Amino acid sequence: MSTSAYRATLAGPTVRGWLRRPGLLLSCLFLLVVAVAVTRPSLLAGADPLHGQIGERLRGPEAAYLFGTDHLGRDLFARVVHGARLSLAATGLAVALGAVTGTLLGLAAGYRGGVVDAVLSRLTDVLLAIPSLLLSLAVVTALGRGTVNIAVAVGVGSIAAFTRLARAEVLRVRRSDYVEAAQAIGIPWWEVVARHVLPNSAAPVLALVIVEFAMAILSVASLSFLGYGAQPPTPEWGVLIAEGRDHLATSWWMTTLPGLTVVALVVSLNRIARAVQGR
Amino acid sequence: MTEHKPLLEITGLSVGYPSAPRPAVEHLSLRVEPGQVAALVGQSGSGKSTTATAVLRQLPPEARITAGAIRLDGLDLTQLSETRMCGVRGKHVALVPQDPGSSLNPVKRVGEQVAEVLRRHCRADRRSAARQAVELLDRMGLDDPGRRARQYPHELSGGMRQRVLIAQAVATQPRLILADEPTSALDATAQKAILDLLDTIVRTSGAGLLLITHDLAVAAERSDTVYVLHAGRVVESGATDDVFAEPRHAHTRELLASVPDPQAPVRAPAPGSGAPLLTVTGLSKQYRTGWRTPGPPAVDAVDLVAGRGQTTAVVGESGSGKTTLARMVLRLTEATAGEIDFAGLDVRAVRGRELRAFRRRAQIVYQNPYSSLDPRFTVGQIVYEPFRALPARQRPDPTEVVPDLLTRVGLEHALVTRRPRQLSGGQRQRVAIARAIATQPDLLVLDEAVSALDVSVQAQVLRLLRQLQDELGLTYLFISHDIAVVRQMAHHVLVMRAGRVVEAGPAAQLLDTPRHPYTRALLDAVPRGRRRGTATTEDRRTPAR
Amino acid sequence: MRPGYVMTRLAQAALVLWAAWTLSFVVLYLLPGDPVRILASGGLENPDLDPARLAQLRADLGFDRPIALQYLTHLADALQGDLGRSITSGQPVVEVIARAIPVTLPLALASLAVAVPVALTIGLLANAVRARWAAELAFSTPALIVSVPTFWLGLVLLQLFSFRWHLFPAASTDSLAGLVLPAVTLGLPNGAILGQVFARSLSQTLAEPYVQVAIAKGLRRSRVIVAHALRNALIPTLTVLGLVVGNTLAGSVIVETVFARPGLGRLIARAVTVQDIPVVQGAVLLGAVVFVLTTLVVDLLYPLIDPRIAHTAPAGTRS
Repeated sequence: MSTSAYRATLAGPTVRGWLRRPGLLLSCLFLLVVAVAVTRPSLLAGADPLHGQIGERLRGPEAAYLFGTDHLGRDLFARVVHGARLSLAATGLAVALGAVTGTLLGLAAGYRGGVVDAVLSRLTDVLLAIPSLLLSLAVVTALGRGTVNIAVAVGVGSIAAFTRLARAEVLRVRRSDYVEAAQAIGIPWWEVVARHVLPNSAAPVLALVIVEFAMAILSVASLSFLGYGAQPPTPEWGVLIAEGRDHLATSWWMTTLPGLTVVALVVSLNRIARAVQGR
Repeated sequence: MTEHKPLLEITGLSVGYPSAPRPAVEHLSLRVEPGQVAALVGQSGSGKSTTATAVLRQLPPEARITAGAIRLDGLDLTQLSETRMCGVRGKHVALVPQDPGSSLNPVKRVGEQVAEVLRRHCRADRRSAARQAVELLDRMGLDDPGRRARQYPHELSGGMRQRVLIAQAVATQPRLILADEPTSALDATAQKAILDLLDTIVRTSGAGLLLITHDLAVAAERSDTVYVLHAGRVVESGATDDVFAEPRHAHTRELLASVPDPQAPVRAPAPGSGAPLLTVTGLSKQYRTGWRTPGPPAVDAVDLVAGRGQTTAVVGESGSGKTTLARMVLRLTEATAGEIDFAGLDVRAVRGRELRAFRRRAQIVYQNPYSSLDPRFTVGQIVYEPFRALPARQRPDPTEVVPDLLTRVGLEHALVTRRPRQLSGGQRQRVAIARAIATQPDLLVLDEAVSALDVSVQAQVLRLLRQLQDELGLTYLFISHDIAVVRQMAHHVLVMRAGRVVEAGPAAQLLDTPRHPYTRALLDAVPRGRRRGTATTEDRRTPAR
Repeated sequence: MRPGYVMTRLAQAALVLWAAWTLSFVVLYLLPGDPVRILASGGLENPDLDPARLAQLRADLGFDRPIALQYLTHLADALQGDLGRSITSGQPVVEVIARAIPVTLPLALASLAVAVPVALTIGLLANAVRARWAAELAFSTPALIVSVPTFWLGLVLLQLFSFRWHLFPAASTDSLAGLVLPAVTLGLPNGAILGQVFARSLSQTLAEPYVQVAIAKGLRRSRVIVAHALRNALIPTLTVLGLVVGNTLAGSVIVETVFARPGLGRLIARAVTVQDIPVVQGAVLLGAVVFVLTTLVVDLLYPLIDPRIAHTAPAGTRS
């Protein structure tokens, strides 16, 4: 590493550092816009997402309607912006469920070892043996339709990935010499976990949280698209794309533009996750 | 010495990386004559390996040869096209790599890998190449070469793999052999055998050998000419005997002074009482290989007594069980049988609070100074951490103890806010030592504590350890594979092999008049530094057999 | 390979199937939500149900018995190949599934025929081509593809290739042309995932000392890649191929919905909508069977590729 690059890593992000990674900069800016859409949607889109004007049906993208209008004359951009809250709330719930349960199980397996580890690891193997979408579908079948239910379903489907990663990280850090050195000094195990194991395993787990959040956006959208989540006319990203299906031949924007929004968000999140991992 | 053209002549070679402020190799010139050994000596980061990869034109894509020429029999390799270079590699210049463990393709039979060179460069068909490969393996001293040729690399030992790699290198009778640290990954006895083999090949085939090594003793014993490399530049060169007899450059002198002298007298018995601090009886460790199936014992009924204030060294090659033994003493690994008595304390029985109290009295310094320090902590936090095991009221003031500890291990106080990755290897190991002595322990286990360090740093750390022992009356359990280092440290020595103690006794007696044949083999394998007597060039040319 | 190893792996596979079946039982029968009400409603939201009829149904279906007993009866039936009857059609689940397989199997195979070449191209482009742009492209494209929702990819392909350019039919089950777009939709993301793993594994392998030694032997780059790097790089890729094949069934749920193909995926999607518990459980079990079989095949293939494995612990037990 050159001296200047070395100083840069010490000083933290600088303007020039950001400019050298334009992808990361764009990703963060886009995330900021999405954050506004979630918290204050009307700042971005003034139009009513639920009621359209019949005279303005199926208009292509133009200055007045950035994303065009749908078959009921509703502003699609407003529907995408207002749909962010529901879509991302469901995603957040799913990831929270998966991450908390999975990480706790992984910590227990990695740190306790022995029988606990054996049982949890086999359980994870079984969970991974069922494709996660099928597992989610089974949960939806049992709980019934609805946004909260598909969030739970997606969360259950992602537990195994978190368990596996958390366990591997704990084992990696735990086997390292510096953790053993701390134990060899006589530091009690709970302090070793708090001071050495957790801080050193946090970055990969955080990166996985972001990646899984991105994946969960796709899963939630898929389940909504299949019709198990929010029901029309509620704006939700998967539902919006599904509504465009019937107008595929005539109105390309109805599926393409909401879809591109989802893609942009997922790409941005993956880019940020890479940065968290230090790559 | 000779008027003819040299075999390899590097003139004014500079290699740089765009990201690095300084070139990795700067204005380097050297020559290798046919039938002779030229040694390129330097510490890690000095540019030795860059030179070797430059000769083979296998530098990483971002590296640039900015100046100079590399002439093989007058042909400048830096000017060749990649396609023509492919015809030079393996045919005229061959490589004997550093790590035999990872240098053979794990999914191909070793015979095929040797035969591949013959088929590429000597127009041999499949069958004759296979036959020649077996002959080569035989010449390299592999037993049952026909069977070995059909085996995969993981079925061979490190020494055998290095013989396969040498067979592969000499198959085409190349003009030049590059040996990049050919023995640094091998045990001492295998090291000697491989160096002997390379010697014989050079003498009989007339090829030139460029021997790249960090080990001055190896260079002194095995080379005709030597080039000392420091920070990318050759600081001294000449006939090996001259350079080592009368080093002119300060760096060469420093390197030579740091090399443990294999003939040096062992340490005089310490003035301390020498009463036993640690007594180990019949200690064993048996790992289970499968469900309930016991494997071979890693440590088998070992007895050991460590006298107070003295150094007890445990010597052995990799896999001998020496580290497992040390870890059991510290209760980092549970023993399966035997007793450990530490100043009257039954170590195997202590639990909880008592165990933590014991841990403060018996500390460890690990081999790898990179992995034994938490990367997120500062030097100050690392050194103070042992006191956090105490109840809050009994913890000393960090502003008093931390500077004191840093001074003791010879570190400047300014380093206190640095993090491990901002320190050199030697500095890290000093931090690890400061942490280990913070609780004023009686026993310090040094588990290969200096083997990852460059030789000059190693000498400094060894000096520090001896000084601390004298000042603090510490008892050392010194785990090492390196007899020369043990000689400088030990009062008592145990030699271990395959989990058992083969010989034990006072250092002077054991190292000067070994009784067990294995101990003798270990001692014989240590490079003498200088060839016995002052051999002339004539003598060296005589074949060994 | 020792026969004992094969037997151990078979036993492990059976154990995983049992556990997967049990897990699906727990999810479908024990999660909050009344299975009998679901069964009786026939997929309608909040239907008016007569409590007496519900109780009758509960007794008929055995739901009044202790849960452990229910589990054992169902398990005994499943072991004899009886997975119950579909609620909507009344036909045995095994038959319903068997009838849908011939529609989905060609799709699955065609998607693999798309995925594997895509993965090989990505891996080789990333490592064997010297141009920098090729490597950049090969490393960034897969990341983009896996960020695209599968159903949206299908819709965009439909829109472009069927409605705009009229190259392929929008929905056709029997023609080969009708298979192209669904196979690409299903295969492209899988190919991207595989390609990422293969590219990374190949570039790691190319950095291994033995590859440097192979170059130092004077071998040409093509020979180094084919004879030394490829086989080693395939080892981790094969594991992921097993996972990808296992996930094909799940992917077909979305792809067959988008392209209106009456296969397994469509069957599952409808079964979830009408909460046809026995069919969903059958599908989950089938997913686990596909997964377990493919990983079994991959594990048994390993020793042929990597001689080290035949001598050490079986690959499946390492975690």
